[in-house]
Amino acid sequence: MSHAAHGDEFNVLKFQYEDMDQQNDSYIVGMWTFLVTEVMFFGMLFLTYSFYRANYQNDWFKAHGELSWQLGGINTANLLFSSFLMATAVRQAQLKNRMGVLMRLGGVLACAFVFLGIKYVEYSEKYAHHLFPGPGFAPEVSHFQGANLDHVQLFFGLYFAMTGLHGVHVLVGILVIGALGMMWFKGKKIVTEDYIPTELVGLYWHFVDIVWIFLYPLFYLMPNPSAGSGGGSH
Amino acid sequence: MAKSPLAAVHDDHGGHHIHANSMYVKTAGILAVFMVLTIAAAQIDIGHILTKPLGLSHQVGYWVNNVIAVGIAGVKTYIVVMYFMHVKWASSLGKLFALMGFFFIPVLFSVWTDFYFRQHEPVAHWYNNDYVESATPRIIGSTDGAKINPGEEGTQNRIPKSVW
Repeated sequence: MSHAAHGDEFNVLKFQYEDMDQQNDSYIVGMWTFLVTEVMFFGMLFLTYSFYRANYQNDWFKAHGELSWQLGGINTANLLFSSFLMATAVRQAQLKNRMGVLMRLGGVLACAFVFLGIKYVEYSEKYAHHLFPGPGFAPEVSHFQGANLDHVQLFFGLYFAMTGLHGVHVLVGILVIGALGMMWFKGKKIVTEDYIPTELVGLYWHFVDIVWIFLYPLFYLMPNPSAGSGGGSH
Repeated sequence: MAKSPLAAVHDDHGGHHIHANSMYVKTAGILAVFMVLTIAAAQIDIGHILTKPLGLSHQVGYWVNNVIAVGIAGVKTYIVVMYFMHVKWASSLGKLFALMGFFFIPVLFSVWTDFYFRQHEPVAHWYNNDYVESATPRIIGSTDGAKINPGEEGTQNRIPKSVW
């Protein structure tokens, strides 16, 4: 490749591709293949969730009252805004506007840290109330209005597993977006001359947003399965 | 037909569309509206509303609530995938791969059929099989020691209830 041969010359189009369309398509199809595996990875957990939710509807409704739909809602809005910033960062990359990309990626990172901060507040509150599943699970029984505590523990098991796995993805997102931002900061041609690396990181970040789009209503906004109360999600 | 690999491509678009900023703003705005709708719909106990005037079971409204919540999430996903992830403008191959993951989700959820039909187990006549002497009844959810096929000693295939 000429890049290696001449050092300062950089060809956006790699030698094995006929044109930019074909090259971009290859990258995007490759990224989607990875995202397909991610969809199935999370899909398994959503399937498990739906089994236990169907079995223990009333007890899970009582358990979900411990979650704050307000904090979850702030995080939903936060991720939506970060997704918007990420999409416009890709646009700035297409326009080769380095400062525009850097500012937006910085905004995405700030949103990601706010997300994890709110998650930390939620987790530590659950931990303090002995709601973390396992040997330490010893909640205040009166909070759950006669629900079977084994079922409540299952709820929190899946809550921590699914939001935890999502949180790990946010963490990985911070690392990847950080690395991408660093390359833009240094003006590396691999990102400044070709918008695709920014687009692929964007695809990952939007996927993380999509997972949360489902996690939020399923965990924080459950409807009441039993008659006799006018209350909605809380 | 093939361009020289050494010829750097400097055409205006470089094989991609650049969308107007307003497209992203509109998309984000619509997603925000749906987010508010999700929260608002969850505050309404539809079961409670439907029970009295229509004489429906509370469960019906409960399922309406659930369908609305998951439905809105599905619509939001569609919007994110199409507009933020640019699948709307992707090649057919790109569209196919993007669709594939979401195609496998219903396939995965078809495991529900097993979950549903398992409640009818054990089905007695499945095991009154004279042809296969070694056939061992697969009893799920039975009390320990229950025999569906008297005279059969083998219990090695029995799945204890704790598994399910």
